[in-house]
Amino acid sequence: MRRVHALLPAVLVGSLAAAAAGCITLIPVSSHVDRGADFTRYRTYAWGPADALPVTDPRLRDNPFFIDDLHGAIDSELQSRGLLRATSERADLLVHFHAAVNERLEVPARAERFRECAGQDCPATVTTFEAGTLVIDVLDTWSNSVVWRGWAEHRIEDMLDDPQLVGRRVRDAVHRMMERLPLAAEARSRAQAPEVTP
Amino acid sequence: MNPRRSLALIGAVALTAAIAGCAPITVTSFTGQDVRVDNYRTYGWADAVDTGVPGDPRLDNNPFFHEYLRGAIDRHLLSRGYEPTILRPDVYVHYHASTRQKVSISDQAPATDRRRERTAEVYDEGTVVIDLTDARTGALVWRGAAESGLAGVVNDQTRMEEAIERVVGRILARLPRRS
Repeated sequence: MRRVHALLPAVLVGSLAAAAAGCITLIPVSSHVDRGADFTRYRTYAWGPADALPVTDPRLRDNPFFIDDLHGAIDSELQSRGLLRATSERADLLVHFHAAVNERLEVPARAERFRECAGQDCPATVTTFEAGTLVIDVLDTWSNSVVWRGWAEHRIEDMLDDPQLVGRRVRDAVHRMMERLPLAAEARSRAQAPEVTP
Repeated sequence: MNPRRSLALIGAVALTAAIAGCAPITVTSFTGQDVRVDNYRTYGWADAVDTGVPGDPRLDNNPFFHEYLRGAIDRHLLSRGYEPTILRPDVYVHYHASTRQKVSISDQAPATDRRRERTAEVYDEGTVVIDLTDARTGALVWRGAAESGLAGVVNDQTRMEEAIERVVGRILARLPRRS
C-alpha cells in the first residue's frame, strides 16, 4: 500500500507532463441517438452535403490539414466499425460534420489567482478562451432523419498553429466520439472477420 | 453565522443542486391585454420553427433536442386542456431556445489573513420561450419562459430529456387551464 502511495505523485506528474505535451488529450465527447433506430441494418455510408452549419471559423474552414484530417479520421473510424463507403449505390447513411468556434468564459485556476493576489485584495477574475466544437451527424438516408449526433469540445487557441497537433486531436476526438456510435456487434464482426476466398 | 460563510454555504448548496440535476428554474409568463387564454381551445404548430439554438453548437439544429421539446410542449398543452389540430387552430405555438454563459460573483469565507477574496463562478444557462399567437390576427396571446442551469445536462441525453420535461412543465403550469 505504501508503495502505491509512493508511486502516485510520479504517475500524476507523468500524466500531467504527457498531457501538457499533447500526448494525452482529455477531450470531452458525448452524443445523442435515435433510440428507435436499428443500427444493425446499416452497411454503407457516404458523405452528405454541408448543411446550415458549415465549418464556421475561417482558420479551420481554409485549413486543408484540418478538413483532410477530419475526413480521414471519420472514414477510418466508420470503416473499422464495419461500414463500407458507398460508391455508386445509394448509401444507408449520410455523414456530415460542422465545426464551430465560440468565445467562452472561464475562471482562472486558483493557483494562478493566488499568485496575482499575493499580499492584496483578490478580485473575482474571469477570462475568455476559444472553444472549438466538432459535431458529426449521421443520417438514415431512407427516413432522411438524423439517427446519431456526436460532438467533441476543446480549447483551440493552443493548437491552431500546429497542424500535427490538430491532426492528433482530431483523430483522438473522432475515435472517442465514434466509440459511442451504436453500430451493432454484427457490423463490427463483419469488419474483423477474415476474408473467405473460394 | 458570519454573513460571508452564509453566502459561501448558499453558493455551495446551489452548486450542488445544479450538479445533481435539479438546478433552480426561473419562470416568467405574460398574457396579452384583455385576453382570456382559456377561450382558445385548439392549437397548431407554427410552420416555421427555428431550430437554431444560439450559444450551443451541440443543440443547434439538434433533432433529438427539438423533437423532445416539441413532444413535451404537446404533452403539457394537452394536460392543460388544449387540443392539437392541423385544421384552422385557434392559436399557433412557437418556441425559441438559447443558451449563454453567466457569471456569479461571491465572497469567499475569510482567508487566514485580512485580504478580501471574491470568486467568480461561470455557468451555462439555458432559456426556453413558448409563445401562443392568435391564429387569426397573429397577435401574441401568451408567452411563458424559463431559465435554468445546464451543468451536465446537454451531454447526457436522458438528463436533457428530464430537464426539458421539468422546464416545459413549469412554464405551461402558468398557462390557464381549460376546464
